[in-house]
Amino acid sequence: MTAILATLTVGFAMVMITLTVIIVVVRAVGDARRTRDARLRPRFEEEIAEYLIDPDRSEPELSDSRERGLFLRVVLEILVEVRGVDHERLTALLERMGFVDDLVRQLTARRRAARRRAAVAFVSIASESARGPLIRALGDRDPEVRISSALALVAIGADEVLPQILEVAAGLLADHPYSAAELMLGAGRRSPSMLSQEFRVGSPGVRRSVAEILGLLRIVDAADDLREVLASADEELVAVAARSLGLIGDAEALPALSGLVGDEHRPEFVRVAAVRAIGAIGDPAAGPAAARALDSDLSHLRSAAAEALALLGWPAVTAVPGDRALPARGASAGLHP
Amino acid sequence: MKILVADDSSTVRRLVAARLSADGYEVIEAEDGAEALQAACRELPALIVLDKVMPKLDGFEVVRLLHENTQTRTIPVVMLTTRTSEADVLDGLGLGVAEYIPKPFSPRELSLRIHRLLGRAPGL
Repeated sequence: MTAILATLTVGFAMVMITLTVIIVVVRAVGDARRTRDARLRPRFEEEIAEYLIDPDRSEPELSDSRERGLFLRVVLEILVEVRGVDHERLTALLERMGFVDDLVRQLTARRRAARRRAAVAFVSIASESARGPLIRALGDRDPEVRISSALALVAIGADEVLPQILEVAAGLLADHPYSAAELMLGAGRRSPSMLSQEFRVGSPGVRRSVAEILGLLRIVDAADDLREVLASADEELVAVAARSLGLIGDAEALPALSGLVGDEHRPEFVRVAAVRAIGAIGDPAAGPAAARALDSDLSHLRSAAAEALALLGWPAVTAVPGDRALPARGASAGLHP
Repeated sequence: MKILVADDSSTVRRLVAARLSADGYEVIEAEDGAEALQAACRELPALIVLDKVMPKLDGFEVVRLLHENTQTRTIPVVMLTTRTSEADVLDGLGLGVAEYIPKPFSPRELSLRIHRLLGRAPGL
């Protein structure tokens, strides 16, 4: 029994000593790397800055893969900060030094982390020579690789794959809504008509997201399609469409928006969106519809109506005590433009 | 002619400093708002390139304090920043910022705008 305990104790001590040695060695190696990187970074920043000024300057010399890795990280940081000719020159530098080829190979690596790093790098690099591999990466099994590849293609200006990009965005809506919106925004800037097309044929979720983007981008040509959905039974879509019509400033939507404000069968959030859109469009003649909403039982609707009337240049409604100006019911009495 | 460049990113500082040095300016660097203010009072540069978001003192606070000091009040400030909403720009211009350059930026454009503010021909 004593012997067993002694053996266990010695064994435990050996394991602890081994672990301690491993931890110390790993930390020492990590510290040495960080020290080296801290020494090299300013040199690389200086060389890259000088390279951008002097077009005839020779490429920096990098002695090993560790230096190459750090150099690439520094260039990627600079690519995020600059645009124009300097951005193009740095992209060309990375291509000449073989970094783009390395990253293209990593796009098809077995390890997901490597594929992700490569795809993310291409969002900043926007290298035309990666177009083909990035298009193939739109089909990657990892959603983050698909997102970054799609963003990189938008940055390159690969308009021929905008339908696939929008498809990627639609597939991401449920789990990655912000990335999906970013993709739609990027694609919409490059091809508003393609975004409008997606609005017509997409699933309900896609249509709601696209409707929002159409408003953010102020795509006037989408006004007809947005107006059409104001009669839809999809309340969220109606609310988003109303907001977007307000952003676009579509005066033709005023009759339908006025109808929504007064429609007691619609939920409050739809009526609020409609009255805010009326305020945003800015035609004082639409004031009566907003003024009638001041008599509503719904406090948010009354508040939104008061804000809209202020935007339309109607007289101010007296504020009631509290955090928000909530016009009391009956405040429309006696109001006129 | 001295130019003060204040940004918490060493990458951006080096980029801007290299461009301005090549243009013939003497560049002083600061990595936060407090250091920028001290350097401005000490060196009295001809112009300051300032980031908005910095540790210790943000860019707007630096501009406000520079304007309170009779010695630094007239130094033109170029804001180089990602914060370019209408509200930010109006606030900055209201404080007396001479130029607002959004990031990502073109170092060449920055150089030309600085030349113009200092009344110099490009490349001189």
